[in-house]
Amino acid sequence: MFGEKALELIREFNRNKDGNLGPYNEDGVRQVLEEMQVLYEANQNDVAQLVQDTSDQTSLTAVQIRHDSLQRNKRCLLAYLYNRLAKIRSLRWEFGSVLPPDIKNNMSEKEVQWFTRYNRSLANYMRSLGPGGLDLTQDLQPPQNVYIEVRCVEDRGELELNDGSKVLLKKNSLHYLPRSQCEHLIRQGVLKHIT
Amino acid sequence: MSLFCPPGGGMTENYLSIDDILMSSEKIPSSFQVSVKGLGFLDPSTHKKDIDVGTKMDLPLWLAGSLAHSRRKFITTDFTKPYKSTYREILKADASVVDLHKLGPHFYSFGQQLLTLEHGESILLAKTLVLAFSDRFRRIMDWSSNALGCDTSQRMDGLDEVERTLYRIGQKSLQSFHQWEVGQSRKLETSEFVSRHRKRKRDAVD
Repeated sequence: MFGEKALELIREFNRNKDGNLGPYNEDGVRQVLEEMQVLYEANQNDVAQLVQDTSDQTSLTAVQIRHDSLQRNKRCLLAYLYNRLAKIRSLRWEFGSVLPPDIKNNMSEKEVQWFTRYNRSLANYMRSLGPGGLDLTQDLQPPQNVYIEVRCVEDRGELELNDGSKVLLKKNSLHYLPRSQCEHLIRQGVLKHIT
Repeated sequence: MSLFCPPGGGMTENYLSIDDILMSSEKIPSSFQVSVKGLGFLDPSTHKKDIDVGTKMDLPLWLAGSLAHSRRKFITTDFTKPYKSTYREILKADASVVDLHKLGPHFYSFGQQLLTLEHGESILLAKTLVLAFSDRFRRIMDWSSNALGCDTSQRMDGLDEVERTLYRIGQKSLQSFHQWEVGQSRKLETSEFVSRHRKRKRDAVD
């Protein structure tokens, strides 16, 4: 049946639905496009015949079936690409502007380009808010205190704070830091919030 | 924050939704009312060049829907087994013990799509779907909003995809409420994506 390869792409995405981004299936996408090319050419031939000889309508059904298959393949491809992009967009909010290399390896060249552009748009937008810009990825929950207590989970070297003082982030060390400066590190799993 | 395309729900599909695409690839029994030239290879049981009038084939919903809806009746369709009267009677008797996931992971949405194909028993099927859902929903609601920290995988087995989504939403709000009760909701957490990514990496290192 037509459309099987496209469905395989969708199944593959669905298996990875809750996990991280799976590798971009370039081969699968190419195969679907090839199938579409074949369908399109076959339809062109049949339609040309239909126009020439209007008495013979028997190939009409075949044209319809191929046309539906083309539409279906298109839908599957678009859904595959769109849902991957949606996932990549949410990664920006989870990991920050720099993605871990193994995730980046799973993206296609165009997806990397898109990610860079999305980053830039987001940064420009955040800069345009208010007098000094506003970091939207900050304070996803309403903050209670200015300072919070954190424990370091991994060695991260020195962290320079806004006031110029430096903190050494060593494994299992405890710190009392401004919330605004360590929220990102907590989300990235470098620090742990202690209450 | 879920950015993924949700299923359409109702009688229409959502073009980009993964669930809808999977649902519409399920097959329904159809028989051709016209002959199709040159596509005989679609029917694996014969080696003919064309599809003849009266050929019976299982077509995926996306194709069957379009062919059955066109002005010239290309095909006639039938319900698949789980939507026929035998199974409808079972659902009527006690819907809550039926394993809907086995009958089709997208039982409700597929059933709704079947309603758009003209069929004599459409109204009966529509009634059954609504009854079955309301019958089962009470229990799903009860489970999802009362079971905290239990192993829920066994219960999830028999649920259709829509029900699973509802169940997960219920569980999530129960957990959020619990966190708020013990005063943990203000705590900053590592993002879920990041921690899952780390776990996988740790597995790879070990």
